Amino acid sequence: MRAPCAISTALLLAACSTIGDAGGTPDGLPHGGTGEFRLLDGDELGIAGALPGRAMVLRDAIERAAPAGDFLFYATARLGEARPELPDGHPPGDIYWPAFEPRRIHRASAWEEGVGGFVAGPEVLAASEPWHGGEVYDPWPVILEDGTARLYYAAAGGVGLAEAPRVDGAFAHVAGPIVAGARRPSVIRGPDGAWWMYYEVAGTLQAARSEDGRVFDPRGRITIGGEDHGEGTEVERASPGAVRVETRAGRVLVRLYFESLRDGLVEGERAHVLYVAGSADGLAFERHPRAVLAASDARYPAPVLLDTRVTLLYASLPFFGGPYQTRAVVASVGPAGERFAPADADP
Amino acid sequence: MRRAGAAWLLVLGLASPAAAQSMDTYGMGSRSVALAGAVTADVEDPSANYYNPAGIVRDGQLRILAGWFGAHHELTLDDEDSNVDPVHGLVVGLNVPGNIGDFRFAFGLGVHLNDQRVSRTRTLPRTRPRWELYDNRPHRAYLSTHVAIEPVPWLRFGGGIGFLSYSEVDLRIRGTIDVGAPERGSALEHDVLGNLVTIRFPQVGVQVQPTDWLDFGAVYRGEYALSSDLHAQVGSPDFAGDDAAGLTVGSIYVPAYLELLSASTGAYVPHQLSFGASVRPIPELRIGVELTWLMWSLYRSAIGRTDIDFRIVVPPELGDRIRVPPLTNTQPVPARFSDRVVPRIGVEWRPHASPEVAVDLRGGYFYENSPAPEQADAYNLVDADRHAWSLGAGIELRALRPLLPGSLRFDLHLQYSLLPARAMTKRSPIDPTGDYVAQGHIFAGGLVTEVRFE
Repeated sequence: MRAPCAISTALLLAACSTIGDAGGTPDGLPHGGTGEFRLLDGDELGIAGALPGRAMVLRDAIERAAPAGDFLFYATARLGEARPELPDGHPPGDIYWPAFEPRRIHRASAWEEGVGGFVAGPEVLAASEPWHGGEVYDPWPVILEDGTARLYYAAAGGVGLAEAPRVDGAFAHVAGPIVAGARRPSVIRGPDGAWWMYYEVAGTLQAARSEDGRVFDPRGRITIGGEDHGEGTEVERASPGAVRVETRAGRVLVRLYFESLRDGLVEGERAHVLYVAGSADGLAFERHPRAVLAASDARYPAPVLLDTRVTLLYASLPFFGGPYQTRAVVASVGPAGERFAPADADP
Repeated sequence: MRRAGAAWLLVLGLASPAAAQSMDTYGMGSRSVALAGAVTADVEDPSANYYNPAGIVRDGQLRILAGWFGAHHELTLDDEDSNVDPVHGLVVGLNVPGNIGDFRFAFGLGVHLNDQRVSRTRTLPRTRPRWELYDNRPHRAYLSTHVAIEPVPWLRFGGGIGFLSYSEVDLRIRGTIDVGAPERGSALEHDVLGNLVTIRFPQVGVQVQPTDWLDFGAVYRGEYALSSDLHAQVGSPDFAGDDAAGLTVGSIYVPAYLELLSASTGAYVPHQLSFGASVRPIPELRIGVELTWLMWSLYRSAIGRTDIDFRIVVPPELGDRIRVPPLTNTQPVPARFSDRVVPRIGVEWRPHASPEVAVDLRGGYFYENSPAPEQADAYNLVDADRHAWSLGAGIELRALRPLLPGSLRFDLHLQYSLLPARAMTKRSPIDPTGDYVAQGHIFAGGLVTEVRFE
């Protein structure tokens, strides 16, 4: 009886192997970091009850935030004692800073669970120089190969530089203003190996180049070509957030996320919409025709590559939780189809 | 000869440009695959129904072949698995000889039946990367019928047609969609009409055997392109009648009409011309070489056209709430493939032969340069060069009378293909897909049994 049973079993298994299946679809496809991003949800961030995308819970006013390693650097200020009345014509979405104490730069630590979340941390830099004008903001941290950390920031007189022996160490002001009159600095190693700073001056995006990352040579406006399929009309560009991309094909590119300030999108207001552009030389950019984040009034993009295809993009959305409107730091992911396992899921 | 000429005309008359199957990528049978397909010159088992139909008349014996074939793909983009489905199925072949006086002829039948899906049609988003030669093409059933003649002992002709099918799907939807509660408030009906339409393609071949130890062969396989047509209609163009469709927003009815026509090529195999030779310097050793010219430059496009007609009659009270996005028709994208020439070599050695049993060992190699250009623009027809090495063995049991008046063979093969890394660099620095590296491995194998009646 053993032989017939064995043969029957073998035939049955062979027959089962021929049962059709739905077939696979390609997974983990390459992605150019250009399509629409998706706000992470609370389960992915590991912050229970968080609003979609909200990467850090903080009651104080918070503006630009940029990541470096396991840390997020952000400019923040507490609500002041006085309660000045919001003037007529104050741009919607802008924080009314006169109601707050002077801005300082803090360092948040990565949330223990999930991806992209942070817990608010200590102050690392405050205004100390006359050209600071009493406050510092727009942080952009960079970690060097030897572990040294640089913190580019903006103040009233332009862009300054602070350094620390490690990213979690004590920062001290070392130079500034290294680019006068600029704000929103974003610094990366460019395709040519030099340091490139992208920054905002009077509604335009400009670049400066440096061999050592301390002394920058301004190169003027960058060009952004390509089609714009967005609604409304772009009238200004602001808040560059750059990331160096080394593709698997061996090429180095710069992806530059930026705010497109647009008329005709919201009646009576100038809308802020995030777009991205790419460049092979760091100066001549081609834009992606569509916005990268569907959320309205998104500002201050700060990208970080998780790998060659997945990008986390930190940004800022309006937040209403006190006497004055402030803003919240949010994290989004591209490609939008990428999902991180909930923090409590088994690895 | 007049009868033979009439048969040729019949074969060619029935042929029409037509689709792809496993054999073009993985071969047919075990012996022929183990020899890397370098068998056009002297193939005589039922795999001749694919490699060279002239071979079905070669030995004048009734031969029946049945077996199983499987291929597993590990193809990646930037080291991420592309989930290219495996292909496996049954292989059946038949050579039936006959003669009228001294005039020898034979009929042949070749079948490959995938056991997971008989035929698959898949239309992907236009820019999504897809392994153009491996993702969808092998998922077809293959059926071919041939006839061959041997007018003189050293010359054989064969020809026939292969059958495949393409799909036409017609979808009609009518009714209403409740925007506020689409699951509960919608009332939709649909009709689906799907047709698998047969196509045919020709295959002809010749074998020349000037001496007992030398063979030449040539074969032509016709082009075929499987189209995939989808016609979807939602509503009626005049917004009236039984087929009308629309949206309901509260108590407001919004008439709508959508017509979508999608036409693409789901699988394509180019014209192929193979020239082969085989030599037996000693009776125990057979060496075959072959060159195959594949006219991939005639491949028009895998990315087809889409025509969309979308109309919606927005009532004035909803004019500021409903915004119809611009929808544009898309046009086919030229594939811009190049022709390729595939060299093959196969060696067979018979270490043991006796009246009772014979044993064969085989090995082969072929190289396919990729016909696909570097995918520098928005579209991603991914492919890479392919080096394929194969090994095989067979055993023939010859003394089976009175149980079987002939012989019984068992053959198996293993094939490994290496697709070396190929970098795709995009012209645009902001390309949605970005640069990537395509590479991979393919593992294939099979086992066949052949009965030969003397």
